[in-house]
Amino acid sequence: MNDDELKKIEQESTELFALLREVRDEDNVTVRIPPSLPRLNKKSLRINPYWLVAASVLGFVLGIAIPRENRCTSQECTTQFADTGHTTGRSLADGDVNFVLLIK
Amino acid sequence: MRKSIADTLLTLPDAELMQRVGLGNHEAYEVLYERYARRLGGFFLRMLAYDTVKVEDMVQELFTRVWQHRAGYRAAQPFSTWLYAMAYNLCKNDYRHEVVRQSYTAECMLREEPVATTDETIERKEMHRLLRKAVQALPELQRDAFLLHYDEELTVPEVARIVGSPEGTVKSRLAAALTAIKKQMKMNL
Repeated sequence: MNDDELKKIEQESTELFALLREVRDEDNVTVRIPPSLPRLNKKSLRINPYWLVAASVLGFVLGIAIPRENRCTSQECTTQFADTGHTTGRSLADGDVNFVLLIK
Repeated sequence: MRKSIADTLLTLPDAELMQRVGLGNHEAYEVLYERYARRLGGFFLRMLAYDTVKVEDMVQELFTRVWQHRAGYRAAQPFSTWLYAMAYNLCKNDYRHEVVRQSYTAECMLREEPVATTDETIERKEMHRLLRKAVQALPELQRDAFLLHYDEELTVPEVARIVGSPEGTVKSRLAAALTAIKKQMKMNL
């Protein structure tokens, strides 16, 4: 396309361009746009699922790796475990709840 | 203090605001949103055959992408061209693009127009309606070039870059679009 050809058509279209601007301005005024950017805000607050999985794995590993201190070695504890029939040899640590004792 | 920072941002050119957005500045980002959202909303409106519901989603999606791809912006390129290129690609990707376009005529007829009071206003409104219809009736590539160049006032090289066609091709499309619209308008008057 020759530049002059397009320029000639454009020069003959001044009325059309005026009308086009009116339509554009009217559209731009009436168009509904979101007042803010909520989706962006939501995205920034969203928890990354990979972090969630990583935190769970870390919690599990730490739970196993850290040795339990102050285990209950009293006769009562071992007796209660013996009563329940558990043979794992695991006794209660501080903070654990012996449900067998609670029920009794 | 905060107000004065916001006032300063309002006076900054787009490229400088984008540099700040690149550093994670939300206020600069909001200034760009205020500056361009309505204009881009109008562009989406015309590109998506006056689907007003879709427009809101598109504006939001566009500005979310601006934030996500802020590191990809280069100051050598005008921000508006970068933004319109993204907006144009969003329109192209829109799955309803063709369907909406094909059903335009019926929707356009039903669209509510502001109430006209005088004969002159009524006539003007009718001209607006006919022009909208004529633009939407253009073949897609002609309409895209027409809207980007004459409505959004991008230069021919910018339009060529956005639509991925040579400048000569864009000029041919513009000339064909102008001729077709004038012919359509004459037929309807």
